[in-house]
Amino acid sequence: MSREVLGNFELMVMLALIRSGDAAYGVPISKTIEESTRREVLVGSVYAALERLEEKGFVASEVGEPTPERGGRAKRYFRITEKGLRRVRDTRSALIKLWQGIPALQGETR
Amino acid sequence: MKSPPPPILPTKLLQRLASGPHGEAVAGDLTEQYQQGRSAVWYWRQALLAIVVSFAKDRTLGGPAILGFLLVILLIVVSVLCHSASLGTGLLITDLALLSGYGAFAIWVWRQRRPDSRDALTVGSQTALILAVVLITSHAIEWFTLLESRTGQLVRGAGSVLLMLALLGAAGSAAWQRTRSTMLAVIAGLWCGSLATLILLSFALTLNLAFPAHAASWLHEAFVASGMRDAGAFIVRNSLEAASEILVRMPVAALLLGFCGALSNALITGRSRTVAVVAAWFTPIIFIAGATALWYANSLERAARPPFVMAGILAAGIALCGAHPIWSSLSRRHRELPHRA
Repeated sequence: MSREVLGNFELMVMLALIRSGDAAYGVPISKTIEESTRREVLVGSVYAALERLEEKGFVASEVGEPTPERGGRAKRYFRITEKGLRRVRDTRSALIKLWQGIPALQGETR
Repeated sequence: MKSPPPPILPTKLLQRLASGPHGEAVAGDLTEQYQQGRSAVWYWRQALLAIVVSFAKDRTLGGPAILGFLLVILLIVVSVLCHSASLGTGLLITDLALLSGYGAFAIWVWRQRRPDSRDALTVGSQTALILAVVLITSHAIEWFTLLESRTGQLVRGAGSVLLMLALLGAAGSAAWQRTRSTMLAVIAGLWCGSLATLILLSFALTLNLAFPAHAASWLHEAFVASGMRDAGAFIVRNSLEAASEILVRMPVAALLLGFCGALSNALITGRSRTVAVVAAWFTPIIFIAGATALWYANSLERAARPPFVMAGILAAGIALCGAHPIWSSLSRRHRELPHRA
């Protein structure tokens, strides 16, 4: 396979983005990652990763309406593209291949 | 009940300092989470780290250059304060005035949003990092090798200058190749020189402050010849003079070589392969002529050197400005050739 796989944090952002569905913007994406890793996530890092992914054509974004609870600032909604979805699948296949056949990791789910 | 607004200062800093297309969304997300019950400490930490991330991901390095500019100012002020009684203010004001130009340029670069400008500036910043390594290596060798032979001095000095000419020319050439704009190519060359200068000055001034005893022994002969009584003040004066010299010379060289690099690329690109091949054969001859003039200058008395040094640098500079356009033209044509079975 010649195509490169996603980095660890980029993959987490992509998966959190898919999980968040149509309402995917910075807050739910960050919270999804925080819940799964149980560590504080830097919102700036999430947006930096989203910006890189957008440049590569893996995600697309659009600006929503400004809301009062955000100090009058607009949300930026993200969605995964077909190209991005393919890259997530490629990364998953690569990780499964690496995961399989390691006796020390057999049967572990966490 | 209406929730309190988030802390004003980090919000203002975030709005002013965080660059990138998602700056407003980051600020909105932090406000929303603060309204949902996150603490002020959390807000401060997230806002400041968002600024750091924004600076780090800026490929033009405009943000880090602003910090570098402030660092150089700080180092100069600290150095002068340590020996203020022995120094005049003229040299300090000259340096600070020159540096303010660099600071203004860094702010301008940091605020650029046009894709073609950012492309050119990214080329400039990437070349600047290589140039900074060259200049720092040369300075470190000179600083730590107290008894450098004359030949060693020539090789190090001429080598770093020639590499500098090549890199400034390459910055202009590569930026022209990406943007097809001579103006942006010249700006890329200028940005390359400015950024490398700020990095070099930060390094050199830090060395002088961190190792004052070594600096004193390094400049001992010059200190004795100066007639000054305070060695520390002499080191600061020497640093300020060297700083003003490079702060003036580098932009001039960068403008000239950035333009030459862009011009060489414009002349070679789009012409027949023969032009690139002839240039590839002819350029090393000009370079050797320039290097020979520099070598000959080294064997002369100091007063007789300038014409040969100037001629050598000019010839070598022209040849080195052509290196990137020739290489990129030949390699591009090689890729475009159909593969034979």
